[in-house]
Amino acid sequence: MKAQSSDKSSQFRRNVLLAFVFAIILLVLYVSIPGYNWAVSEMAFRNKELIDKIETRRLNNNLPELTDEFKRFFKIGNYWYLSYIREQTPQNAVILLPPHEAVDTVAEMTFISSSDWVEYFIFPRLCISEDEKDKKPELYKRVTHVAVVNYWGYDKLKYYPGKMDKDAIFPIDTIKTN
Amino acid sequence: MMLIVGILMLYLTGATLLMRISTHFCWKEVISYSFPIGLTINTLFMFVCDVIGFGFTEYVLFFASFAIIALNYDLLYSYYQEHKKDMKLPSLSLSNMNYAAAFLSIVILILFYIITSKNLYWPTSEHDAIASFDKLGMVMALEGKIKISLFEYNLQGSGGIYPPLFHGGIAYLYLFGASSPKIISTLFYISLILGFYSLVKKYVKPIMALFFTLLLAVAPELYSHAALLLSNLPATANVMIASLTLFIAIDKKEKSYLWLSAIFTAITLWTRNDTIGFAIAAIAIVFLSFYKSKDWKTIGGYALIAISTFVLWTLYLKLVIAIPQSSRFVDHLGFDSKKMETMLLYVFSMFTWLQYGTMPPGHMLYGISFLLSIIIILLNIKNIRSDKALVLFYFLISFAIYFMIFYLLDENKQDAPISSLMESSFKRGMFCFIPILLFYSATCKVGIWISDKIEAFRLG
Repeated sequence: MKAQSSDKSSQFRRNVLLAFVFAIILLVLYVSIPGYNWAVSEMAFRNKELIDKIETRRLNNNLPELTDEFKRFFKIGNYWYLSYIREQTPQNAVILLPPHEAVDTVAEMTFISSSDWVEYFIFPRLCISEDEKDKKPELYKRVTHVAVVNYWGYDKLKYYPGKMDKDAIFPIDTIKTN
Repeated sequence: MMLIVGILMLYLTGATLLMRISTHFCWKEVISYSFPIGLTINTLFMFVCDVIGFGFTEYVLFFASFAIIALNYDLLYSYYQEHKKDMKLPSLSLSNMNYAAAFLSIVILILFYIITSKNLYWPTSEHDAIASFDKLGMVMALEGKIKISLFEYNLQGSGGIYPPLFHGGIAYLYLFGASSPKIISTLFYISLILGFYSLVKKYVKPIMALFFTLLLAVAPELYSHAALLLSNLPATANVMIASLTLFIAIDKKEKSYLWLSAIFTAITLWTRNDTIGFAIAAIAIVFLSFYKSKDWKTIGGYALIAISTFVLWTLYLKLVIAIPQSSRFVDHLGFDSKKMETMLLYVFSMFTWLQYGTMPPGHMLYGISFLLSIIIILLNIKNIRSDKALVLFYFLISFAIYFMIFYLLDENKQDAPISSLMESSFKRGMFCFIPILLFYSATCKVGIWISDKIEAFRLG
């Protein structure tokens, strides 16, 4: 009986020791391999902390649950502009986006010249980048609005818009069509 | 509520087809395999609707899935009766508990919980998902067809030529009321982790199986994809099941795993067409294993099932969408030594800790997955021909084809230099090779020897 109990106790100790050894192995991997460190501390824990912080602040201020629309303002630097395009244009609009060279120095406007990317936010409206005018001439002819970014695009308008903001959206033909 | 019903329907539809193959799979395998199979069945429904010109809706998909479940509910019920005794939690007795296994399980669960919280909290924000997959899925759900209106204006994005499993899955979730479809990545991540664990555990003890499952689950670049809406993680889950079930089918001579492997190879090709190398490697292995016994029926059956989706999608691309797959490749074959050198150096840096291009040195994007595998292969060198040589054969063939696909890509047509392709698409495609090499490492003679030693020590 005593031997059996001692066996069990020894097995228990070995079991715990083994768990401890694996904990050390994982710790060594976490400390010595930057990839694991990045995945666990940056991808996992830091993001969890950020979410907790946002949610705590929301609850403290008695705010309603954040919608995906609202969260996009956190994640996508120029989401305000994409949202503005949606508000200011009809659903059948075809929007002319600036060429890459007009926005490549403005970090906030990254991807605004990519029609594939912008289309996601403005569907069912269509869009075409100035860079694509030779690739998609038919769609280029159908442009109804110009996305003015970083002062690019005013020369595409067939009228003088009056106030010239850095970023805006205008109908191509006349301001009344909007 | 509708979303939960939709997801449940996917699992049940997948489980019924799985029961048709065999009722001997354990419950972890059923959970792992059912989701991709259910999603494939539903995206095939979408495909059929599209071809006959009938717009699909959530009702069409629901009733089609419901019909499959209703016709096979007896199989599901008998499976439950047969396996309900196995569906229990492990012993929680403090004296008998396998502490190392419990510790590794807890680490996996914590990491899974955290990355899932992140995934489900934030909406889609990564460029490729927005410019392609999420957009395709969203518009497919709105228009009820695969060839959506965006193809007319060439606004479909780079994922437009990929088969519809992933963006069709996104469309399915939108149809069933999802505000964000990102849960699809979590469900594939579950399939990957649970499936890998249950298949490796057929050879080694739980501690070893859990340790290698952890290495797979937390391979840094792959882990980050569990919170992104890209098709690489789903492709990895499908390749993992397709390949590991093939190895088990050949090793243990279990035909049910062979057919499952054929189905998952087809599912892999229904996810991404650049995974063709895995299908070719699998067919080569089946041919080598069965040609001596002149079992042409098995060889032919496997090959037919495996490439069926590839043929289907290639024809659809050519005849309906009118974008041939070859449109991305070089027109003239020739040896480009500079391109080859760049690619080889990138591959070398991915397998080791060295720097090439803008990839940081020592970062080890895949953790120790590749390095550990190389070390274990070297330790097992004496048995290399007799011990699971098919796994290495499969890896070499599929990797060579994967490498060649990228070598043949035309940088001008892709609008990106080869260095950029290596640091984005190629890097992500490497995920598919991690489970194959980790499976070899865990289950080769060296792996089994280590597993047995650990277990012997644990039990005294």
